Amino acid sequence: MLLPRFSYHQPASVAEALEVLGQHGDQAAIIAGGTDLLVNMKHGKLAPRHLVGLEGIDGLEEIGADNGSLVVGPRLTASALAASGELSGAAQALALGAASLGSPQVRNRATVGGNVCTARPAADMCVPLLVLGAKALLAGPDGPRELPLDEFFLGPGQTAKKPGELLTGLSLPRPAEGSGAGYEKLGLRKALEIALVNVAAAIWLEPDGKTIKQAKVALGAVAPVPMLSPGAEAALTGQTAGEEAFAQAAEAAATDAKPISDHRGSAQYRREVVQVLTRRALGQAWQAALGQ
Amino acid sequence: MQDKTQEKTKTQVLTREENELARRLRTADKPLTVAGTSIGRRDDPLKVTGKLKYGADYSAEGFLFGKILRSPHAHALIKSINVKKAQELEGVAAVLTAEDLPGRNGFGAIIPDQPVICGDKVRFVGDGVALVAAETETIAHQALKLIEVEYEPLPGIFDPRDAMAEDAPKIHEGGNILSDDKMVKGDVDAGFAEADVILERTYQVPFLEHAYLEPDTTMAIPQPDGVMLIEGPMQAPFTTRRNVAPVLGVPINQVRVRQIHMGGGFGGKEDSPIDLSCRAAVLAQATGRPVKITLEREEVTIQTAKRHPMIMELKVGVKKDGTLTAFQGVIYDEQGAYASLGPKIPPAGGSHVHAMVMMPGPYEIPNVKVDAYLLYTNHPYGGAMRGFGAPQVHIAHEQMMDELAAELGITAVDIREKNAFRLGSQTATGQVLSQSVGLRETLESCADRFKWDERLAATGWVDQAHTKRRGVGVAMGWYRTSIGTNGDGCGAAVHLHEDGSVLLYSGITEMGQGAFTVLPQICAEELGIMPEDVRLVKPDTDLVPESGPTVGSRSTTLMGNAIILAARQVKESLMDTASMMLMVPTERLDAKGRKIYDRENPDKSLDFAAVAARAMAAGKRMIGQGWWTPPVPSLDGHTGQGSPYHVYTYSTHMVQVVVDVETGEVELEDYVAAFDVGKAINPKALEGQIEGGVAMGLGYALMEEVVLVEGVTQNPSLQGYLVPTMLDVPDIQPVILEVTNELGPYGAKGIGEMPNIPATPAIINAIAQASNGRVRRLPADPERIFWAIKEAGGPPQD
Repeated sequence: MLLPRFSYHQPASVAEALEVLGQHGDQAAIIAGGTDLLVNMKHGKLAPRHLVGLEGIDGLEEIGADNGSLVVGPRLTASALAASGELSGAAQALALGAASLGSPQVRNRATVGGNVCTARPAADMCVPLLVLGAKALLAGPDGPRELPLDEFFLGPGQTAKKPGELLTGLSLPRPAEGSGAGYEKLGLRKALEIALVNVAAAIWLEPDGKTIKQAKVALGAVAPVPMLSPGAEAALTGQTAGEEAFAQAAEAAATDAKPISDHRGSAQYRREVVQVLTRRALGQAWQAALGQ
Repeated sequence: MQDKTQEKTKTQVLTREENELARRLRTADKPLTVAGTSIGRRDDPLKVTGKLKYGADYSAEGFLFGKILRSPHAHALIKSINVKKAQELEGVAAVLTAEDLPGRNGFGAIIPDQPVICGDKVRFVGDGVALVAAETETIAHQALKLIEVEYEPLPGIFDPRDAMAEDAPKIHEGGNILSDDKMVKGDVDAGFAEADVILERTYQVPFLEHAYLEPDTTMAIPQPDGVMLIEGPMQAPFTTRRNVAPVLGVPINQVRVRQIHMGGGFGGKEDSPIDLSCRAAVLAQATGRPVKITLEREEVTIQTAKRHPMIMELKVGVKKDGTLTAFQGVIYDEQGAYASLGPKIPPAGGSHVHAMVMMPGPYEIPNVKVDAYLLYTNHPYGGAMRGFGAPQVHIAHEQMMDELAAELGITAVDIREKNAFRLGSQTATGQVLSQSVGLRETLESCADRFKWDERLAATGWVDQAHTKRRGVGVAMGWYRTSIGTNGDGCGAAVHLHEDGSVLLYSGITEMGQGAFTVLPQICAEELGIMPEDVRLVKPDTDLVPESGPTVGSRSTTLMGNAIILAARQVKESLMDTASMMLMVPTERLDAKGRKIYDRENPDKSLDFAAVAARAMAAGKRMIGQGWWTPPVPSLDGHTGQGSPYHVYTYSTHMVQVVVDVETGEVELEDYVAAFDVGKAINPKALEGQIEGGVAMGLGYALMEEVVLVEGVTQNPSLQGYLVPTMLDVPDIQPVILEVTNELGPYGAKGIGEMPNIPATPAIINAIAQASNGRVRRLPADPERIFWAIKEAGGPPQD
């Protein structure tokens, strides 16, 4: 359980970081909180020769605004996001997910950028980011690019980020009036737990306060990647918010889910729970959208 | 409570042997000044300031790092092993295989059936096939990878019932049935004929990991005079010494074992240090250099002993009014690959016999029959874990009591009240409970504090949407003090100095339970000084008398008594001396608060230290030695009848839960746990035992399980093996009752293991009461609860 040897780099700008990454190719790994990377290195699963720390780069640890979007800095920690006043309305989903990650110690280290790039199927911040339609902002040797998150996740631990690229932010739509979010997580214990199933929901209401203008449901731990439920979205758009619509959306979400059985739970149970948690997350989102 | 207690003790019916021992001890009525108070724990300041050194903290400069090459197969023959490449690696000092061993190739707490290094076959995933000692940990790791082993896999046994089949592959030469025990009282057929209701149920529990915070460490340090010094966190230094000596091929007195403060043990560090010490010692002997082995967390889970899994089949008969008439049980007790602490040490030692004896619960039942099979499999092995076979059977009988009550339409408290032990009750082994039986008092006090009747009446839906339902649960329990073997003696020595300070020599180890605080407290009480006047000499087999292992909730009681007897020998010197100095007969003298005084004229007193100086100068005895053996246990090998353990601690737990009937999640809202402990020597430390125990029982109930597939552990790290966090544990209210034990120091009985035992079934019963979901195969994780509710046709519809 010893950490393998590595060199540590502390670039002062994104450009410098890209240069270091370019030099070392797949021998380099980016480190933020290290809650995942260091554990894997200790277990011998990863042995990068170069670690690239981002703490010398300004601007990666704040929530900024850009053309009607919020840009969430990748070095923001789970505890910072959980307490952030800027994540209102639907964007609250991210704060709720961040608050349920790990333990206080882990939340103080773990970052949203790390959570997204690690791409675990049950990641507490990835599932909420999906319902917000978040885009990954990437910088790379060929210039910057944007990628919707549902295209970013490719498999457990696999993303569309190329070696040599750096995640510089996550872009979300600005919080809108009449929107709200919900997050539900089922685990075997109340902290330090990877979800057996987790569900995030976001609702945007029409000005009448009843009709659903848009709604999204994302599911964790029921597919190789955190996933959106198109069925739930279709079942909700244009409908009157309420138990009936939520129950239909929940059924659709359970159909969309692709759970497997493992020693933590059976596929059948996970599917049942998706339905319950979707219904509850939507109820919570609706209440939040109504300002209750 | 105190008055009631006094009254109870008067009606007890001690046996002649018990009477003699009680007369020898005569502490039960002593007015106390130091014992019975909540003084701070001695190790607390060291722990909270980080000054306390655990095994892994000790510098390993000049040490070689020891590593174990483990079998990837659950059952296989070793065809060949080639260590040449590993030996040639620079920095490798030794690579040992079975051929290189100097002495007995076997160790074990009871039977030496586990090879130090496997020679011809492996019996579980994790079995050691070669040992490496290298200059650094990294080199040791590399060397392991260079060892080439050729295996021929054999069919494995992964269900204890399969082990009993005639044509089952033999895991050990002597067959797969390690022990086959019976307990027969009365006539169960007649009992069932009398019953109005008979229920048959099967309950099942998995392997459990202790998950002590500190992974195991052992250091073997060869001494210039040829002695092998072993240092490490361990519960049983004497058992370790008894194993290392024959493995090295030397007499017992050539091995010295020193205990390092443990970061948790819970029974697990009774035999894992035997394993590591034997292995480190052979490496140290082969190289002539000190060797340190520190396990990684995953190795702890894979290699060391677990709580035995059991499949328990019960058939119980009861009359309409709730009176039990017959109890029939079968236990398939899974030992795993090696005997560890499972088999019998006559007459009633070992976890298997203990489980059998406890199986019918703390209830008077006229007709009992239990068949208990202890079976080898190709899984990791079962050892001691806080309760030693008792937690498993409590999960069975306490659920059965609730299932019977539900069938009869009476409450869970009613059925227990009807059958619970009282003074003079006869147990399933035919033992008459002669003294200190506070079980009914715990039920009464627990129900009182918990407000059982009110809460039971208030159970039901929490929300309008009917997704969450509140319920209550109860469970009772009993647990022995001491271990039921013939040789359960315990020795202590007390050395008084001329300034009045005292050294106390005890081989009882500290694992967080508080022995190093409570034992000096008892010594100070007996001598009439303050606890800080007594320094404890840490367990070291070269210095302290044989004390037996720190297990079986025996430390406070057995060692406490030995200390009292030792202290009295030097106290006699003091009293003789004071008598001369004060010109007062010794019968009138007493010692308290560092003074020795005339009871009839308390102003006439001397400083304790002055008397000690005078006694020393006069050549009086300044060293006392005490030895305590509890009443001789008995248990007939064929009928399971006798008096296996001399006294029991009793307990009742009550808990309120909310079950999410849509997902199966459980929230614990409130918890009351009542205990009859005889006497609380340090009430705060005792409350700590209760809180920790309940948390542990909660883990067993809701989340803990070592998941094995074809013998391979699926969740060896603490990311996969879940234990409760602070957020999972409810507020726990302890209730302490004191029904005097005439054979304990100032009336005390053991408490270390009792608290976690009823916790598990109390929680499971509350879940069933709230939701109809009765989970008979633990843990009751959300999914099992979810399906159990479905199987019951849904939650209650009121």
